[in-house]
Amino acid sequence: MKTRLFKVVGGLAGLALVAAGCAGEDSGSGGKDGEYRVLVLGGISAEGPLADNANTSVLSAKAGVELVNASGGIDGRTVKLEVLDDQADPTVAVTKLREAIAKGKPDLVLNSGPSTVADATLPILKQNNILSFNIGPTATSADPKANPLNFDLSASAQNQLDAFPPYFEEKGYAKVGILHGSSSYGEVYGAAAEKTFDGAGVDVVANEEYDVAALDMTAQLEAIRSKNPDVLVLDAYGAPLGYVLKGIEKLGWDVPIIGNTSVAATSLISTEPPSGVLGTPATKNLVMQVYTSTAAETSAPEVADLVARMKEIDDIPSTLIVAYNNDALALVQAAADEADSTDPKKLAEALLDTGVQQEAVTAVLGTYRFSADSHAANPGPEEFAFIAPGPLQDGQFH
Amino acid sequence: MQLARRLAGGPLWIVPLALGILLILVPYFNLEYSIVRQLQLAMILSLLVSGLNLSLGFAGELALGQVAMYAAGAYTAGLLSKNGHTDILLQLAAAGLAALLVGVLTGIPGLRLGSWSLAMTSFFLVLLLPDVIAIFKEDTGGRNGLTGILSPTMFGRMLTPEDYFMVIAVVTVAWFAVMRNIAVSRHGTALRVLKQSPVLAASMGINVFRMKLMAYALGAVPAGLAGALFASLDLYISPEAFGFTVATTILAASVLGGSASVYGAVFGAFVLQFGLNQSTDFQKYSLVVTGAFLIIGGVLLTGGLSGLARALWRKLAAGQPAAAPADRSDPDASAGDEVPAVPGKVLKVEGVAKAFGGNQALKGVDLTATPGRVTALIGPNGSGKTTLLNMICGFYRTDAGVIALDERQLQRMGPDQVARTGVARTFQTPNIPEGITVREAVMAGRYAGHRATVLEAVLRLPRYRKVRKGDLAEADRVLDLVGIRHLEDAEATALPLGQRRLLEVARCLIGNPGVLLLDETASGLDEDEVERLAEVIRRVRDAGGTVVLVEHNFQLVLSLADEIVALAHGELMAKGTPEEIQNNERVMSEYLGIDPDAPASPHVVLADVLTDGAQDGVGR
Amino acid sequence: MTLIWGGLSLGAIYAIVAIGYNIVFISSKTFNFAHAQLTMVGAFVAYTGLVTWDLPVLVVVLMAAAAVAVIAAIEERIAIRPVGDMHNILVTTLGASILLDGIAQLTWGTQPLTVPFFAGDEAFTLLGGRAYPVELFLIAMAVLIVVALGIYSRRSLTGLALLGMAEDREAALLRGVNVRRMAFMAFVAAGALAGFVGMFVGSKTFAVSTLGAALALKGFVVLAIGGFGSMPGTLVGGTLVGLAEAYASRYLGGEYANLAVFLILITILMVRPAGLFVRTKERVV
Repeated sequence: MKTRLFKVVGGLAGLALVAAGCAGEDSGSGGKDGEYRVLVLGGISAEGPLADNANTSVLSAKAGVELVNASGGIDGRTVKLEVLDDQADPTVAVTKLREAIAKGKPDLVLNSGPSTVADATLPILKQNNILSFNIGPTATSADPKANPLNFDLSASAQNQLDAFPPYFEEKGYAKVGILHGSSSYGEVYGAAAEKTFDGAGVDVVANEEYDVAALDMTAQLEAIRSKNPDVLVLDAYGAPLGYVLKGIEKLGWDVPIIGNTSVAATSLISTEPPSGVLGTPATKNLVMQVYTSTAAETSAPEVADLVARMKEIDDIPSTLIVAYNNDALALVQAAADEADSTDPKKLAEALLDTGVQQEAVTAVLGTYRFSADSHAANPGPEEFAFIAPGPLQDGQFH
Repeated sequence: MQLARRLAGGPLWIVPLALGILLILVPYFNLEYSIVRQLQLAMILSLLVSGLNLSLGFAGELALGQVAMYAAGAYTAGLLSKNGHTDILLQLAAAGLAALLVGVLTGIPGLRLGSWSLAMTSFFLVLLLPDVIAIFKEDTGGRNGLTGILSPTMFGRMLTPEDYFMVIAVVTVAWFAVMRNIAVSRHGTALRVLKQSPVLAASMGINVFRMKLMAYALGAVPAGLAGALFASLDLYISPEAFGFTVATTILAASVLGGSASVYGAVFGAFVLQFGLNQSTDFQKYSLVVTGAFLIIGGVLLTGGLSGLARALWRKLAAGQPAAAPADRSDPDASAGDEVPAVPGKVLKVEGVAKAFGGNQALKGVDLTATPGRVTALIGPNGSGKTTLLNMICGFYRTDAGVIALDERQLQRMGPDQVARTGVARTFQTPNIPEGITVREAVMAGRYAGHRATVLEAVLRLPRYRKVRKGDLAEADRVLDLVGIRHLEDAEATALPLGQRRLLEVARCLIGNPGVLLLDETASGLDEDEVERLAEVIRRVRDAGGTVVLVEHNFQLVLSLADEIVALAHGELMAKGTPEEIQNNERVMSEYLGIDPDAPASPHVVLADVLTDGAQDGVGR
Repeated sequence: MTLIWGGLSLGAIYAIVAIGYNIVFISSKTFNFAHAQLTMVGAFVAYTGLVTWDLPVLVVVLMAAAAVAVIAAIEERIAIRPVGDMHNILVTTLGASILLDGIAQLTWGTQPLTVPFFAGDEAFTLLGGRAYPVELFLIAMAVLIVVALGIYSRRSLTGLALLGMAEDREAALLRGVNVRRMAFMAFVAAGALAGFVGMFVGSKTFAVSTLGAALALKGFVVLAIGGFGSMPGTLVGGTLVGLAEAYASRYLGGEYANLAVFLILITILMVRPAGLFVRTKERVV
């Protein structure tokens, strides 16, 4: 309940603050002295993986700023970056954002935190007509009617699943088994996967769920094995992934396994023994879905460039999946060139232009396909790759 | 100090009522939204905690399944709303009923378990909720939650957020009014009796299981209301909002606020909502902070915050006569001369036998006690006296034999039924619930015999008032009879041993019992107290009561009893008048250890036996 | 048969947790809600010893047992001894369990860590079913612990005193048993046991900060089925719960695993409210 409370309280507190004050400020003119002010929100001091992700996001923003400034800035204006530590806490995020806006309205806000922070901050950004990019999607964050100046950078479960059928075809898998967790994401993933595969003419022979708190998934695996699928599609994060791999190994079941991005994010499989399982028989049949950009083998030259730029500033603590902020800056630069302006509304319009989307030198995703109906990135199947597990190095799997 | 004293003089419910009105008017104070939001959540939480208090604090059952009823209420309201029934009153009614249903359904198997099994089973029930919700995901939205709940209306009018705040506040205040009315009514006292000891409750004619179920099921109602309020507040519900953490939050709030109090729920809920959930600065350490908070809170607040508040209040209001039980000893002065009749019945025990495993505790015991006479039951420790008493009361099943009160056979009845048939008893160690006054403790003796439903008590309907009037009048009568009327407002458990014994006798007498069983009533009393007790027993006998006295104090037995029954090794050893028993050599040697041939003065030995008996009683 | 081995080994883990609850329950009639967390800490300490420090197995086992025994001792002193009321102990030990979860998360993070098993991590076939060595080891260990405790309680003076305490605390007190000290020692011993088994439990389940929560309630269910205070009951309860989970997941689906366990629990308790191996006593006044 606590997280939910925070989420809701944060969101509503944001609304209240918006309603309470801050009617004045005119939109448009933006920063002083021709500087283009960019705010990055991130939970730098949050716990564990969250902090690593936030630091990677901030790092990518810094790298993006350097690149943009080196190539003439945004519509000729030099970009100035400010980092706000929101502790991944919506209440803190709202407070700090309000303070920052009171000091002078930023031209662009990059929100690197989870959906809860987005929920809390989006109303304020909308009220102040500030262009923003967002990593953690919410129910309305990509809806242009609700948030006309916000763009979502990440891929949805559906985007990821759409990349599966071509891979099945390539490998000749006709019968698929699905195993997913009982988390809310797992439930959505399981249902969406079955629907997507069915729609693509792939035979889903089994779709099993496991309790994310359970300690042994052998039973579900046996149930799936009895249907004899060609391949197992797996949603798992953390310890359950370990139990599933152990179970498969124990059964002596020799089946190809495709893990989703949650599988890729579990450190157990990118770590060698004794603390991890990388390179053990448990992972020999495993491939996992990642962004093309996070696999060193498949990534484009832009990505190598991004990695180099980021490394120049600092070590990359997490995967490149969260390095979207670099792309956001590149997109804004391209849009500003097209619109010949830094007015947020004009920029937002320009971002819908496929020419701009192609033009922007982005790395994490090759092309962001924002449209008038949806401000989500909607990456195509070509943005994903299926790779064997490997050690994580400089934000990429090797 | 002055103010506190004056307030303490007036009706106590004024303070919470004033606070409640203040709460309802919050929307007019233009508070910051986040505070308003916290207030709403705190009110919802306090409803949940209050429900738990009914079963945990009042009935003493570790039933922690409130979250299941909360979820039942929320999903009922949510589904109603989704299907167009947006009237909040309808939703509240339906949610309350749904929760009540869940309460009864889970209570019937759950309450059979009791104690830790119950605690774990109910925790497990909470763990199961997401699974159940997921299994019905077509309707409930599964783990992704139920969306599409419409804004609440009332009588066809859309409610603004301010209106809705008032709805929550009014429901909360109304529930606490109901809760308070239950707590101070005879039902509240009966629940405390139950919590003190199910054995005591049964011996007073209270059906233990039904009482527990009532408390548990009744506690489901506020949880259901809270669910409906929550669903229409957020317009979105998901299993996440009904998880294990909520269950532990409710439990913690209950214990910290004081489970055995009405308003402790509000204290606890507000402390947790505003304290713990606000500690955003500690996010990294939130688990550590929560854990430490529970440990420290649990260690420091044994009676909960409300216990502390009550103690403080008492200190402030010290000097009030209610708080200081003066030990005026005037048993005769207040008693009056006319003692109303106590219509006794004939208790007949014939050929009763009982074995525990291989140990034959009783075999072929006969006993007859008649109205207007005191029948004493004596025998050495382990001779079967208490066993026999427990069998008469229905706590043990007989292996053979008949126990009858007048014409009604008792040996197949449960203890509560036996009590309602007219068997009243006292206990070796006085068994008196905590937190109630002498008068309330005595009135509880009429609970089973004179009924008024909970609904009648909550609404203060005529029948409740009538029964209550009877309770008060009868309490006066029996308190006069035993001579502790002047202590009627003192806290019952605070009385000295002698007066607690008299209180137990009064509690028995108020139900006009067919037979009064006194279990070692005199042990641990000083001479004056024994004398006063003897006087009371004589008075009951003279009024026509049937008295059975189980006693170690041989002198008291000799002076009081009309007939003495002596047991040894589970068998009848002797039976007769005090003179006959006194001259019975076997009784003298086996029970009192007096060798009839020895030259020692019997007086000395008798005195030794008496002190032994007394210490024995205290030791227990 | 694979299903049976898996179910039995999981049941053995639950039973081992239930044994810990039982030791505390027998000696002090209270419950240590945090016992499953103690087992979890044992697994983490084993990870640190085996993987981070690369110490020999025997040293690590002793180290884990000692470390967790110390934690248990501290818990007894701050969260149990000063608390009088039974309901409050539920709250304080719950607090201790949450506190341990939090400390484990801060110290070892939230990702699962592999705890190697000394006899190898290669699955093999036994009686037509596939199993890991650690799974069979866990089953054997649960049985051995129960047998050993049974012998200990009947043969040794301390054991007898413990049984006496369970029977009648006051009588034991009168006969010169230092009830408080015994309860404390039993609590610490339960902690040491939790630390000892942590390594083997961790080999099956990984050392992960959610392990305590996953084990706590199942341990109680096992205890309730077998009967509070009954050691053989934990084995039967563990077997029932482990197999029920495995078979429900296999043939009905993962959503039904907990539901199946709950149904078994309720059915058994309806028939025997005090559990399979404990007789309901006639009420004593």
